[in-house]
Amino acid sequence: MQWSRTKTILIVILLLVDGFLFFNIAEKYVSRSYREAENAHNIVEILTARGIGIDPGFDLPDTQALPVLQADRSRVEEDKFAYGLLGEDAISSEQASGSTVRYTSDRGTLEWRDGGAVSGTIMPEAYTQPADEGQAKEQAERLLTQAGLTTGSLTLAANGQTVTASFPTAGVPVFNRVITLTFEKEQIVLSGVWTFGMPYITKSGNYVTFAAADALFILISGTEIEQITGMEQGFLLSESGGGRVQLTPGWRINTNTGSFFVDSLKKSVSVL
Amino acid sequence: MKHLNPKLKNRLKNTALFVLTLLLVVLTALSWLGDLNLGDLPADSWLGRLYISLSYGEAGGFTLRSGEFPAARPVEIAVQTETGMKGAQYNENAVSGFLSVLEQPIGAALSAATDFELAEENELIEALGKPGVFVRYHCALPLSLIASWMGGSYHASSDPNAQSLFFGADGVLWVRTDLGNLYRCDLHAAPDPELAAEVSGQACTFAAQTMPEQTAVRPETLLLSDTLTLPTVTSTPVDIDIEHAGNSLTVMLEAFGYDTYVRNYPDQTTGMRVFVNNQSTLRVGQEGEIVFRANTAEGGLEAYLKNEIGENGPLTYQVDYARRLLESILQSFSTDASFAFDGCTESEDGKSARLMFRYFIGSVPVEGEEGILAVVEYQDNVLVSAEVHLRTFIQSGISHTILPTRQAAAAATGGPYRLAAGYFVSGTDLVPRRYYLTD
Repeated sequence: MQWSRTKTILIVILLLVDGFLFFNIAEKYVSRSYREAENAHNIVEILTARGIGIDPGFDLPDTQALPVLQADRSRVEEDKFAYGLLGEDAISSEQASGSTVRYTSDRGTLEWRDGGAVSGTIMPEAYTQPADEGQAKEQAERLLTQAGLTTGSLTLAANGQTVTASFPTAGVPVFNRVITLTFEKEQIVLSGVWTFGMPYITKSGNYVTFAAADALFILISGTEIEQITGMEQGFLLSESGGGRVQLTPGWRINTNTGSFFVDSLKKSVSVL
Repeated sequence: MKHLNPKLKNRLKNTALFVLTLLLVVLTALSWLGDLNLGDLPADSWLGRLYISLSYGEAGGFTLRSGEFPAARPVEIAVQTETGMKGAQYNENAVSGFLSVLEQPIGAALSAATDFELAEENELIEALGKPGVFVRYHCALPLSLIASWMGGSYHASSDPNAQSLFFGADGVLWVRTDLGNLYRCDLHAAPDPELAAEVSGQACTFAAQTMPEQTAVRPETLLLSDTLTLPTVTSTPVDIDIEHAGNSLTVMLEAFGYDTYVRNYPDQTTGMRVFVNNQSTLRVGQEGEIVFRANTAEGGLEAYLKNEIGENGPLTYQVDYARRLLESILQSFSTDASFAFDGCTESEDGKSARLMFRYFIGSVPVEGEEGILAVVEYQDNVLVSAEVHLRTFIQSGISHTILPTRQAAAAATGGPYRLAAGYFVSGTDLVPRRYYLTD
């Protein structure tokens, strides 16, 4: 057998196949880049024709396929959160339907409602109002650790005497999943929406690819705006019955008149 | 090349072959991964997890559940341990609390079911006095469906329509069917009732324990002393204004596989708007009525691929597809009413199935015609017909206290009955009531 000739033939075949695959991948990449550039250009033209301005640094973001997620309401974690802040002696009472659970102790009151909404006032022992943002952040971190919120990616942002806590899911923000702690003179006011446990998708779950351009068109077709300052892909929490909340993918679009969420499933716009 | 040393030439060719083969592997992987999405990957495989980590950051921040999303949840759940019994009834949050810790073990237990045999009532009565987990659904459901929703896969030779289940901690599963028959099955795995130690629930007992002389109710009837207070509700059809429905209409048309600009005309007789596709029609009425009809199997909506059916059978896929379709429609019209699967009838040859979905307010079903959200029909794997009635439910501000199960059980005569709660039409409102059900 002529091994040398066989090897030459194999090399030629491999070169051809590799070349074809390389061309295929490159073609996909180039055509996608071209399409994106064309889309961006068309959008700028359409927005300009409608008299809507775009901030100089604004680029049409890439679109990521995101799952429609569910998160179960966890009464056990809600209990831990409430007892962590109000003490183990806190008394809980719930509505007959179980939709609202209220906790009371000499350290304050707290209420968990359907959809993961939480609100209350806390008066920790020896509480003093923080002097600056740094102290407020430290106190908030201590309180949230006490409440069992130890998610690795928890982000705290302070603004004066108000600290907000949030964390991303699937690498993108959940726009309305925020706990806000406002440090007043005598007490701390807590409010927000939160989920415990890992959100999930099932085998036949839905992954949505909702292009940024489509979101922009839906927004401008029904809302009066003059300037777009930015947009970001993420989730919005909404009640989905059965003690669950749904994390719906969509886009947050920041404009001169405020921030809007464009829902990828309902194709609707809501104010954030 | 001709003047090269044959040894060197051979080495060069070998190196080229190796590099080109390696390049082939890399390029094939890139080409394949570029087109890959989570829909193509096995749900809970290591590849799925790797893909999630790569695509969505460290650990992804979400999980893939092996079960299907449940189209119905239990209306009652209870655990009995050596120290006592607690449970929840018609309270979706409390039921969810129990399910969060018991769902997977129940799925695993149902996966271990093999052969069912008819059992005697006194055997069940004895078992109800021992530790175990009890679950009751509003309507009877095939065990395979429940197993799939709980993350298990069903292998048993028969698939009884289960109304209630009691998983004895000793490894015996007791199943009450819609016809009142009682079956038992020996399991290798049983959910541990102690798993729900931290879950809050109401104190309860089985009728067999506290009123053994009362034979008018089933022995597994869950008895709670606490009253159940529920709101009275007003129900109104969703007003579908075709001319101004905009995105809502687009989402609904997409859900049925219709293009936004599909040909349509008003039906003068019924006042409905008719959207016409090649082999199907979609009629949309202003009073929240949506009727989809396929003229041929090709014009229907393919719910799943025939070769996709696993051990759990086609019903799992049919129910799940219909559930997602109905959710899309409800969401498109911003109706946050909740609903659940309410049973199915299959043809004798098993080729067609008729599925019903019912509105629920919290965990309580809306009974009668008023409560029917949809009836969908399948021919094999194709959804060929769907009738949807969109409604909104608004609390009227008045609350109703319904009779506690303990008192209702004590007052029962005749039977044996099951105790249930539901919303019934009363004048212009829907009012919650306790009622008795025979098999």
